[in-house]
Amino acid sequence: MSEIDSLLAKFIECHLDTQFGLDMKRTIKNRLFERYGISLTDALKQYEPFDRTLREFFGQAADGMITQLFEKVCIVKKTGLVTSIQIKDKIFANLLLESYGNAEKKTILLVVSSSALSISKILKQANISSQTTGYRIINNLIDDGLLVESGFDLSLDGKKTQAYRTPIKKINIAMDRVSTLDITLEFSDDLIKKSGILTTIFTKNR
Amino acid sequence: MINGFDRLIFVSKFPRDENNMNNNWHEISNYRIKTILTKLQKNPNNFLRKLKQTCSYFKHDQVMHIEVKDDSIMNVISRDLDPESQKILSLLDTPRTPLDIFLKSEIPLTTLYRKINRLEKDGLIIPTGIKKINKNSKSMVYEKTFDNITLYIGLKNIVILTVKNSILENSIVYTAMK
Repeated sequence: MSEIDSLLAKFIECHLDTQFGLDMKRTIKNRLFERYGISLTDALKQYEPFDRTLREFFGQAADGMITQLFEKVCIVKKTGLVTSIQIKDKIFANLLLESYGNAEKKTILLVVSSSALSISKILKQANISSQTTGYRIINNLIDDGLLVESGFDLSLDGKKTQAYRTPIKKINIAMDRVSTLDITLEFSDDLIKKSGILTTIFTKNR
Repeated sequence: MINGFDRLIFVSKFPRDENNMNNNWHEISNYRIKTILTKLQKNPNNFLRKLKQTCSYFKHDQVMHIEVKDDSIMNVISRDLDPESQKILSLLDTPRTPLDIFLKSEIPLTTLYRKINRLEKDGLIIPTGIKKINKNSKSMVYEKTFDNITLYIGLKNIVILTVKNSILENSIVYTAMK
């Protein structure tokens, strides 16, 4: 499961109603459960089951539909060697603003932007002394999809525990003269290659 | 009167005194700024050294930009970019009263005043005058301090501000930087 796909899945699911209509969404949901035994969100996170199911219903037309759906959430931009995504979804944009506007959340996200760490190490590196507050913030970030599971790490007491990281390497927020917000995210190259969603949009744009 | 750009720099560089939280924010803010200005007059070199470590300016396309490498300014700006504040800022490209903003944005009046107070305290908007609304009442007119704001969050946190020329000309911070 790609970290970027896990982050984007929740927001893409919100646009399924407008893209396919309620009935079609229900049919896709049922088929996913029947064939793979997974929910719609999980299918989007894993991407391949979602892609296969859409192809089953729409054939080749699925390509255009998927791109259209994804572009409601983000647009992929490539400038030189850097691939970035511009956020289109307002809920996603507000979530990013709210998270990076909170000093503690921002520190945690910056600590885990380059490598995956166990929760105890994250709290130590982010200088959060209260464990209760720290775990509450980390749980919020996990619920929001900004922190995702990524392998295992040794905790401070030497136990093997779940490691977490954020797929976001850099975030640029620009507000212009008429106060329209432009939020651009940059991800690590290894994560972009693993992401089925970004690969699909990028291939179609080429 | 202190302008919006200076206020933003002062507010973020000298965090609020939490012990005085019971007082009105405006009093605290003005009191703090007065204290900072007194300190600045007593020891300008110390303030300048601090300022030059984090702030610099450059010209691009005939427009002056201020680059700030400081986490506290980033925290102040990013907490002020919620949807309601964005709406308020988008309407304040031209000077308007809170009532004008209310009629155009449909943000509840209490929320609107709370957000305006916060934006003013943080220096993102400034009162530019007083407008007579009817025979008995007057209202403050507000305007945006910045044309463009760009935040780069990553290994290095950088804020680039395009401050309105009229504000930059009267800025203590900008004069000190020059």
